Amino acid sequence: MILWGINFGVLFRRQILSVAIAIGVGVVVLLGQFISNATLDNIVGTLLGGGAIVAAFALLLGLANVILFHTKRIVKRDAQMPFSILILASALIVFLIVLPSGGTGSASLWVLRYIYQPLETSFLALLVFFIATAVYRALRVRTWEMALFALSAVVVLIGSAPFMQIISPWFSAAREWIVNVPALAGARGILLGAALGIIATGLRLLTGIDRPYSE
Amino acid sequence: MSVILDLLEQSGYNPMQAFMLALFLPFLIPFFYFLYRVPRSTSRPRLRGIPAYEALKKLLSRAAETGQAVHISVGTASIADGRAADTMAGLYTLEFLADRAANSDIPPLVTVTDPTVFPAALDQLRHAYERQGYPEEYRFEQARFIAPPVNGSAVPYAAGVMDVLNHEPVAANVMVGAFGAEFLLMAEPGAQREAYQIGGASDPAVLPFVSLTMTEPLFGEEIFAAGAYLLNRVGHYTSLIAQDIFRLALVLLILVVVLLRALGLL
Repeated sequence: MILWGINFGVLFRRQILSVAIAIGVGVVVLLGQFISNATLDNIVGTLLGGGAIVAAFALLLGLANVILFHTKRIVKRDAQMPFSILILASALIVFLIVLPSGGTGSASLWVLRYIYQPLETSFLALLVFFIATAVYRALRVRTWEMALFALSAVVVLIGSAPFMQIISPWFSAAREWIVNVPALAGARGILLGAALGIIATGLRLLTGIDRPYSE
Repeated sequence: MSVILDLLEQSGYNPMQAFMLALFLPFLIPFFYFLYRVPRSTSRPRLRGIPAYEALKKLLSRAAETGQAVHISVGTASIADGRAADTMAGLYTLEFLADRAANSDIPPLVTVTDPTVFPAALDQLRHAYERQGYPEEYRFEQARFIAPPVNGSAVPYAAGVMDVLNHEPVAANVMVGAFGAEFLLMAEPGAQREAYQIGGASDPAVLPFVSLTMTEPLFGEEIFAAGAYLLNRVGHYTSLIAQDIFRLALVLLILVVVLLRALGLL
């Protein structure tokens, strides 16, 4: 197809258009971070809003994937079939509850507050046991790094306990030093390295070196 | 950099914007210089060995011995938020493993939580099978959408991944990307079973979990080197060299400032 002297077929075939759109949008959003201008802010807002719409469609794709995967499991009578039935049934029930009242309706909030949140909190509570088993395993490894790691963890833990300040102020002082000197220095070093990595990734995307979008 | 920072703050930028620009603008010089130089050089720069990437290169052979799949998680962030670079690092790892998997009988098992990452993961898998000449082997279910984040929490996803790792035949677990506390929830059951796990994150708060649970850990910025180590891409070498030089310059700057302060000259 040739219009105004531009061969659109070639443009599409060589992915020039998608690269140009991606770079253009990236540059505009980046400029919006540093330049205060009402028109530019509007354009950036519209582009980010468009991103939210794309994300909503992507969620539908995800939902289709969940339904397809669990339906196949049920059809195949897999050993995990009961859980697939449970997942699809609970998804349908929540969908039916949420549909009339909307995402922020009282029924939706009830499901979130009284079903989802207790489940999430209970699940997160597992972290305590997982940290304990992970540290126990680390102690069994017997390398000097792990010994240092465990020693620091014990000092910080004991130093954080309120009663330890009465018994021995040494632990509190040691905790302060560990948190504010070696831990902070290490964290800042890692953050600086990560920041450079993030900038480099962004630049590769902006210059079209990396194209994570479909070709 | 501190001079640029002061100038930018005086020009009306808030401290965060000023910091971002002060880091971004000088970085453009080594980045574009090496972008010009590296493709014209006859030899590729030598990279220091990172055991986790060496292990990733041998991972599919290891999985082929057991005939079981390799689980891959690209993190819990989106490709459109502040942690998108971490997700990109996960997607590069996925691209490498998907290419290797497409050439073997071992299908990859990719789990995803963020809706925007899901099409990208599917795309990586589809292209890998096309590149290797087996487009018919690609399946929509090779990437599994577990659950979207709820109020920013990826706990439902972590629960789904735990189930996958505990009940499905998985030879190894690879987790590279942006994670929070859910990293430990996903990785600890595997660590308890002494499963082979390779993973990393850039968030310092997650690194203790990485260190405690991964057989081959990747720390901080190491995850951003995936493209150079695994995919051998010129553009990624370029940015690695620019990062190293810029980091060295920053370290020297910090040392000079500390020295000047200590001598009372600043």
